[in-house]
Amino acid sequence: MSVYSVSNKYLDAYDPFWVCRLLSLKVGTAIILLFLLNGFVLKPQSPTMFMMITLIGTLASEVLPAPTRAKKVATFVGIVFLIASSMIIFQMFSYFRWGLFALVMAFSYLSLRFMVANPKAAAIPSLMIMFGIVSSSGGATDFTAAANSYLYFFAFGLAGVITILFFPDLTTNIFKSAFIRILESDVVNVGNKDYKNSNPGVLAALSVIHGRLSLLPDCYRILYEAIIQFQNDFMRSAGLNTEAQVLGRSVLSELIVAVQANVECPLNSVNAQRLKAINSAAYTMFANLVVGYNQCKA
Amino acid sequence: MQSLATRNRASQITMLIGVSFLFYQLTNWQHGIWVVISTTAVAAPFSTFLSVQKAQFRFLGTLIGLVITCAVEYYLKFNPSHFPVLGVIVGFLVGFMATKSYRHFIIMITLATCLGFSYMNMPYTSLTPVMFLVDRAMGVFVGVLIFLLMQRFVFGNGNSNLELNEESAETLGKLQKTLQEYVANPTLSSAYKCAADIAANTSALKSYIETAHQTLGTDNSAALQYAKKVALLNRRAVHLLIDEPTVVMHRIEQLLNVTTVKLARSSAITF
Repeated sequence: MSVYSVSNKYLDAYDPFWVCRLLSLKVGTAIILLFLLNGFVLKPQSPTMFMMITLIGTLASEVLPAPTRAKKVATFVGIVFLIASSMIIFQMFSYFRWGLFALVMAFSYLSLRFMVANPKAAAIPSLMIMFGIVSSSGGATDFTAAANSYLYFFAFGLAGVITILFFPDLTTNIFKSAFIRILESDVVNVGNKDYKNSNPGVLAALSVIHGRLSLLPDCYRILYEAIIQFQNDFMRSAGLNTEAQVLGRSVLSELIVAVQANVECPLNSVNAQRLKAINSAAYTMFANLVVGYNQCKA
Repeated sequence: MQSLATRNRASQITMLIGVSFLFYQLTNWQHGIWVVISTTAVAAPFSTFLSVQKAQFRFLGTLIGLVITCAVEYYLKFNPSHFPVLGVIVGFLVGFMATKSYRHFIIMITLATCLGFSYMNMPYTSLTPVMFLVDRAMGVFVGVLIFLLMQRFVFGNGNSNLELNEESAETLGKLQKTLQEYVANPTLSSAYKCAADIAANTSALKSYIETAHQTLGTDNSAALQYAKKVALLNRRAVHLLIDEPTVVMHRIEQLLNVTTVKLARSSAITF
């Protein structure tokens, strides 16, 4: 069991949909490149700022919706450019004590007034203001230092662009992780007459899956439809006797193991065949789900 | 176009940044820049409700982060060659925490910032790193204090209530749109998609309601009661869409009518 396998019993409780693990891998990759760049190619006096902004851009390229790599790179370049420009503007005014105060007020008001369409879009202007103010504390205005900053941003930014371009697409892990969360909830709730599909965990997992469908091959859309059909039919069927419930839990657990191992789920297992023998309707519901999953493995 | 509450908040945050920047300039404190950074970071979520919660997390997270940094710096004092490996580990952890929990994220950011400023490409001196930790701690605590004092005694609750009303109206608008989408295409798949959308669209309003006691205190304002009613309406919509054996169309249409009427009323009140 690796930390970065689809399912990890320690991390699943904290990161149920694999999103944190994906961001961690991406930022980790970028930071290794940045350290190498700092160690062997460049050596600015204070590289932390350049590294931080590159990491913020890398994070944002993954968090903000962007369906293609080109759009992710565009997001990254846009964010790094905005923050870098703010820093350089503030550096230019750092010589003037009250001029700098006026700039801080004007820049803050204008960026918050015209770049924040709603409270959810306030992160970028806030970062621009914050890093701008940090850069103003560097001492008197120095044009050479400001020009050098742009070059350092460009060089460190390359590490971010390389990470975005060559980092593998792990969206399927997010899909599978959310699928496993739904199945785990189902294993616990098979036969529970009070079970509701509006269970927050299941609803959140369905929302995560639906949000990633546009980034995945078409077979995942078919699997999504199969999951919904299964939730609607199997999880609400009141006619399951005790034996069918036990078998239902067993076959769902087998499916979880198959998803975790990234292999096809067999429909000819002993438990599946016994379920078919005692309740063919329940078996058909389960089989439709497994067929949907196996299509993505073919 | 910005709403009234967002416009007011932009002015409030500008004032907050201005006051903390003046504090930094007038005190001539060399590391006073941390005061301005902290007030800007705390105000960054823009919403008053989330900012107050973030201020508490930043205070606590910085404190824990500084204790961990002290331990790591003590370790690095005797093993300076381990810095790159530790740096990469911290980088992985920052990425992991970034979207999950602000409290944990700020612990890692404190560690990363302090280590970065103390060691990276700088000659090591025995006292500088520890002094940097003390400066950062003081800066963050003063910054958070300025934010909390101004929020409580200068800005007050007026804009918070307006913000809550606007969020309620926005959530209602989204509910209306989602229900209309379902009525136009009443399939099983669409019912689940709409239910998941409604749950996701209500998350901001829910977080405002959950943190309202920190901002509004015991003041159970009309805006808060209205927000709770809107959240309840959304829960009912999810229940009707996916919890019943079959979706009863006339009940969905009834709910859509109620939403439309409430939305018209809230628009008349808010704007």
